[in-house]
Amino acid sequence: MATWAQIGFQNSASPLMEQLIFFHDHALLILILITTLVGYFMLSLVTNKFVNRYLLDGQMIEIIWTVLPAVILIILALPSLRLLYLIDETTEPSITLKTVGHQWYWSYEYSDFKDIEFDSYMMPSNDLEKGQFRLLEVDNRVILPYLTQVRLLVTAGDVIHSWTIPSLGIKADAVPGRLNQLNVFFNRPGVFYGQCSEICGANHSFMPITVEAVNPADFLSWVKSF
Amino acid sequence: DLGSIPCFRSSFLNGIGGGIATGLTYFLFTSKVKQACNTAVLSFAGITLSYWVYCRYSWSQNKFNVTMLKTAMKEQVAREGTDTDFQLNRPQDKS
Repeated sequence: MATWAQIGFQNSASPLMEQLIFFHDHALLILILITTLVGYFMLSLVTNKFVNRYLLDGQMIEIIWTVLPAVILIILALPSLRLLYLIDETTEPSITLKTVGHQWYWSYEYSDFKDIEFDSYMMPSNDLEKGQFRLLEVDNRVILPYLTQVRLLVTAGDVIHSWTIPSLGIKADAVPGRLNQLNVFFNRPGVFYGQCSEICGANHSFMPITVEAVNPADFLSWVKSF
Repeated sequence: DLGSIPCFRSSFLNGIGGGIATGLTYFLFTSKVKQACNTAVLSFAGITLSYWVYCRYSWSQNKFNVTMLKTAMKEQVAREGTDTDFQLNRPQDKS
């Protein structure tokens, strides 16, 4: 989950989010280098006394300032396109989870085994126990197995909502009358949080998402106990 | 925290050191201050970017090898004592 004054990404919980973070690091380095260079060029321009009122062109510098940005763009584009197609690779999900957004809670349906359905409301701040997180905890968490491909179908029952888990790097709008599909893969157990990401009324900020990734045996025990 | 990004700190340290060294060397040979500064800054950018690409590539290769090793170790724990135990298939055990 995010903490106060956090600027960077949360720790990744899936291989795709890990790759997204790597690409972000790569792009950030290039941006810092470009900013440094441009700042230096500006300083250099301001502090020189060169004057040439009849300057028309300069072939060499024009070649440099065309080729160099093109090379930088290629260095950025190659990992970007690699990641873009990696995200869209087809998978064979083992489980399907349906998510329906309502004002102002999420409901979940597991239809693969038996018909498991439950609603997930935010825990009121007054009811929180010590160690629980304000505005993030829910009464019924989504339980999913880790190291397992999961298909997530997202929709809504009234207005547009948006289902997201930042540490997985996934987000999809929950649109009434439409099913959006996400592929979910946890590479470690844990509890992961998200919040509704599309303005949906008075309590838009108070309908969080909490997913608990457990080992497959525990997941099956949970399914049996339902 | 930029320092916790793998290869970030080493890339910048190598870039800054290499840029200063290149600029000083240029100045030693030519005594031109402005061009030496330009050389230093451009070298900094080039060395930083080159070292970053090299460092991240070797880091990702190493990470892949470590992941393979971890997976093999986990599998070995499950296979130990069974017919598919990795140790049973070593050539020196067969002779």
